[in-house]
Amino acid sequence: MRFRAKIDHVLTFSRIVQTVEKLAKQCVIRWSPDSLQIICPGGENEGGVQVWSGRGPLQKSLFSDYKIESGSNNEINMEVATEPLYQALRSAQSSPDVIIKLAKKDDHAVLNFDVQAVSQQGKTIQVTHDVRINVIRLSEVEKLQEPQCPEPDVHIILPPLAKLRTVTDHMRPLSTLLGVSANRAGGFSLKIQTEEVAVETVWSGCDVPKITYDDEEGVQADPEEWHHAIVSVKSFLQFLSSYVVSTTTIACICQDHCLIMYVYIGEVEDHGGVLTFYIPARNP
Amino acid sequence: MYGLEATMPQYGMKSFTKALACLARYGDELSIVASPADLSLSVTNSSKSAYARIKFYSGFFDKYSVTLQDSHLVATKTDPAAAEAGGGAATATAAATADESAVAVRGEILVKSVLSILRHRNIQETVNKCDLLILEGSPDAEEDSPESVFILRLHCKHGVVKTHKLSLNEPDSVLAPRLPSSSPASQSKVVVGPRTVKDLLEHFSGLGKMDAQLNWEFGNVSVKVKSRESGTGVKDSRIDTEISVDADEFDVYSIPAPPISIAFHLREFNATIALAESLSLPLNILFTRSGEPLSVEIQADEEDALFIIATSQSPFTTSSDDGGKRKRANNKNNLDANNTDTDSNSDARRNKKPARVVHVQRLETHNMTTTTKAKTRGSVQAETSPLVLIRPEDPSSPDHRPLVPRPTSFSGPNAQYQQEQPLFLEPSQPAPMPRSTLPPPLSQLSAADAAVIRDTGLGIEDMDCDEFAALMEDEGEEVIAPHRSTLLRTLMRRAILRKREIWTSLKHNCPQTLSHMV
Repeated sequence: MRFRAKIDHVLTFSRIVQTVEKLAKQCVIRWSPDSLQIICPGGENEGGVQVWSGRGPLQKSLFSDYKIESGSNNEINMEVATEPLYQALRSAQSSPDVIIKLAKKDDHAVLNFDVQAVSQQGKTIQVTHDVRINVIRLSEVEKLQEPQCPEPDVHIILPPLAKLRTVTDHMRPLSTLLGVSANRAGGFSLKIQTEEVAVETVWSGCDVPKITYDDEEGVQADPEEWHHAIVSVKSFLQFLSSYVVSTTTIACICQDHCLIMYVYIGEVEDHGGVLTFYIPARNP
Repeated sequence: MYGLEATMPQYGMKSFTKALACLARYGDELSIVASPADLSLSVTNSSKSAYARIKFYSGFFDKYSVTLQDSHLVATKTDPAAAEAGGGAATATAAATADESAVAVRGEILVKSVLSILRHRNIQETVNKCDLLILEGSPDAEEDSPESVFILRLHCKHGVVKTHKLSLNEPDSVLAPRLPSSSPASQSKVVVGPRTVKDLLEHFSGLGKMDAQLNWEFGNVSVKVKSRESGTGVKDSRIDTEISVDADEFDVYSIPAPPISIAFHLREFNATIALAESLSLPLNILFTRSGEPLSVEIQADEEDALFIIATSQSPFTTSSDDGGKRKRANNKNNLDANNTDTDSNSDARRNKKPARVVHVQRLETHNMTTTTKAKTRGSVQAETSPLVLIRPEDPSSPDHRPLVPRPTSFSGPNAQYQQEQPLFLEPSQPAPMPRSTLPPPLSQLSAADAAVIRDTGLGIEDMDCDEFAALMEDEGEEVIAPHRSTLLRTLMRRAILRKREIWTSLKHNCPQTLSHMV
């Protein structure tokens, strides 16, 4: 089992991990010759938010000199604590040259980060981090199932997540539940409603991806019709912490079932990769 | 009215507050010693493994005067020349007076309570100057309150004056740290800017929360810093980090016998770095070898900070601490003739890390008449426990140096270390274990009582409380029973209670350091 790569975009990778670190203590990373997938199976966090990064060629945009070998289809699956992983990447952020490799230390598998940082005086500082990991078997990874959900009622491209975050941050003290709604005409709204107070922020004119909806009746539904899902504010904020890495985000609402958020890393055309957030809906 | 009267200008308040903030990260209890030359603030952490002292010289203040109780000595600073003259006079008198309480106003207070006043968010804009007053309580004078009071008076804009009165505790113990013991020749010195250290330590950022220890290896041309698993091995270290940096990063790098490897806790060190950074001054770090305390100095114009931090040797020696210490207690005191324990690991013990850089010396209350106090103490200490480390300025040791106020010229910490830092003594015994004297030590007992204790032949008169407690646990009470007297019983109870106290406070505060203590 061998794995070695040079991280070209340390900042991007560390931001992805930073996002993941906000919502789970542990994550599963699946390295394979042509893909990299990060999974937070949810369950451990109260909101039940899950993250499944698309099995896209994320590794191509992040790494170079990517070498991987293993007995099971040249794939390596590992369970990593997110906090130390983020710590290692954060420490490497400013350095141009970071090598990551799988190693063994004291009979324990570690991800070894070899960082050449530069001091203020221009000297090289040699930094190494050993992050403990657990290599897990393919059969165990396959037990993890992506959440099942119906065909979304509406797709919409969200306003910049940083702006949504400001709004949501102001709503959080007032309520624990947040109504997220959108229509097919580019309307998007965040709303809280309690006995004392109701606050709603509406965006209009959001881009709508061209998708032909397959409505059951075969009739084109009213594009002005709003579709809602109520989620916990905390979960929504956890998702919004991905603002550090996002460029474009597509939100899908399955009415009263869940929110699915596709967070594109880097420009969509670059095929940088997608982090998919699954936020289950709550009953009001 | 005796005490301290000082006025701080607005620009001084910032560094004063920063100094307090730094001290607050070391510990809770702030001891204040105001001598005619300077105001010294010091804190010892709860496990007595770190000590911080920040001195503000009289020049730091617009106005600074100390009025002393016994000699009616007044040192007032109006302009620099006068201050020097005043300081000189004070020194002369101080040397003549045997009692140290005559040369300084002292008290204890919670750092937080002072800091919470000075940290108020508007304070930088609204306050023009700040008065610090200490009114010493005098038990005999009827018009004064018997308690000492610390007064913080803030003169704000628009003529608003805010006065905060805090009651000042009588210091019941003086904590004095040990100095790294060897001669300057074998002492390593490293001077480094706060920014450089901070950049280094940023790579360990996640460790800050759990008060990790770092292992530093000072080699010929490079310095290696390693995160190290806690000695107990309980906490899963999920990340190990190692950094290697060129020695050129350090402004001064003088290691006489490389490589030297030392380890110490980050929590206090970080506080020190933060202070150095706020002052934009380099850290002067002195150390000898692992197991010996490390000292850090930061020198500003009118301010001078000293930090002593215990270092530990290797993670493997910690587990044997317990047994070693008990044996030592037994051997040392020859308590039990039947005790056939041989001191098989005396050498191992010698290498043990010192958990504490500070030993406790009880002070007497002011209620006693000072002359008899000084006499009793001096004689008893001199006869019975010549090995006990004593604060140089403590009057209990008759041959000590008098308290020397800082000379105005200053040429390098090494050259004048002894004179500069009269707080600290070279340990006079080879065993690296710091000692704390049994509370109350003999010095507080009458000569007759002391004689009784000595006559028991237990050898406990110069035992510290930990040893005592260890001895109690090991031997059970039967051993001591034949010699027991009421006095002894009280002593034992106190020793045990104190030990429990330490344990509980440790458990709460820093479980990692548990292994340092018995």
